Amino acid sequence: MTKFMGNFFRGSQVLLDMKTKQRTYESLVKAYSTDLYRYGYWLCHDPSIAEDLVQETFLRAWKSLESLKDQNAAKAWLITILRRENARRFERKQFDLVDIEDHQVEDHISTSTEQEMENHLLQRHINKLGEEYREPLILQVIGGFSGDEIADILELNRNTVMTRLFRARNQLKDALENKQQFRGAENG
Amino acid sequence: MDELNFRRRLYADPNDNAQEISNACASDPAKARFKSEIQQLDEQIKNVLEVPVPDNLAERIFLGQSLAIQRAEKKKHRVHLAIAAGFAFAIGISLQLGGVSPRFDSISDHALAHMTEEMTHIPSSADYTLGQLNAKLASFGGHIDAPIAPIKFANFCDFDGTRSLHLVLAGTQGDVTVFVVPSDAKLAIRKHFSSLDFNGETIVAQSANVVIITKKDNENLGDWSNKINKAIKWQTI
Repeated sequence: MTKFMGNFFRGSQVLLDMKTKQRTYESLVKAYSTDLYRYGYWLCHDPSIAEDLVQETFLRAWKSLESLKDQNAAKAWLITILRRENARRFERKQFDLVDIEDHQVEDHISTSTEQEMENHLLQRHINKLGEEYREPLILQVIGGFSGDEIADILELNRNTVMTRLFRARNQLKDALENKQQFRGAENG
Repeated sequence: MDELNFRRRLYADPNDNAQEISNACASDPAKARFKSEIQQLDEQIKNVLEVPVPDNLAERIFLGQSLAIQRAEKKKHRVHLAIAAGFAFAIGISLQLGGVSPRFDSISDHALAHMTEEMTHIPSSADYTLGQLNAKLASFGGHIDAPIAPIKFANFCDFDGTRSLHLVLAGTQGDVTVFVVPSDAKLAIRKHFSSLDFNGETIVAQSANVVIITKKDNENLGDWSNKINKAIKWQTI
């Protein structure tokens, strides 16, 4: 009888754990799926591959949710899984590699106003940034990660991360200013 | 803080609110303007990076998760089923090999049991031709040239899992039952055997064992045995 009750309680504990796990999982999906999708999009430049990456990321997260000890580290943990999934994609299928220079990336900004045209231009320049500059920028702007956190995720030292962030913005600013100069010359 | 260092810091992080950055902005309007410019650029970058997200992304992820769990469950079930089937198969095999089932381990016991079981199915008339018998006997590598007795029954049967031939010949005083069992049947052979009512003899031929059973006292088993042994010509198959 005692044994039975023991099993019974253990069984309900397992159920309870499953419920807690499911709740944690759902809150992670709700909180981070949008950011992960965007991060994935900028890694692979394809909306459907980005969605697959997010799906795979959350499936893996579900399987190893027990290994997430600190809820505050959840976002960085998910980003790390997504980066690994993306790398796996290249291992699986070498010809998935798309050279962004040759590949017309889908524009998500319609170009009607001056501001929108500038955004369009900015989008093209972000695409042209080297991966090593673009990735920390996305982590900082979309992910809201600090320099130290980005350094952890990308396994770089903080100084390297800060230098890359500086260069990324510097390049983008130059590109936009050149455009303005070019416009000025054209108008004058 | 010098100009270059100030700019580098803000390019790397437009929201750097460290004390020295705030001080520099407070004392130099140009620096404050630069900070505001770089923050504006960052707002623009953010705007561009925030690509539209598919509708119901979270729901689609939940769906993907529950489908994956279902698939995993199904797989688990299949594995369990396969394990169960494997066990059942193993038990079946071990029963067969271990002889736990009510099987007969000798050819003679099986022959007696089989004959008794089939007795009611044996027609009273002898309508089978020698041709019909030979057609069946051929698959065991045997052939009978001349008729030895009217044939009441000639059919394949299952002899403890081995396809065999069951013949019933009409003797002068009663039926003579003959089984042709391939030599590879894993059954012990007893040359002479008997039950309460029957006598039997096993002839070990080239590619088959021939079991002959007659009713006690009705027929001379030895004569039949000789006759049949001589009649069947064996070929190598």
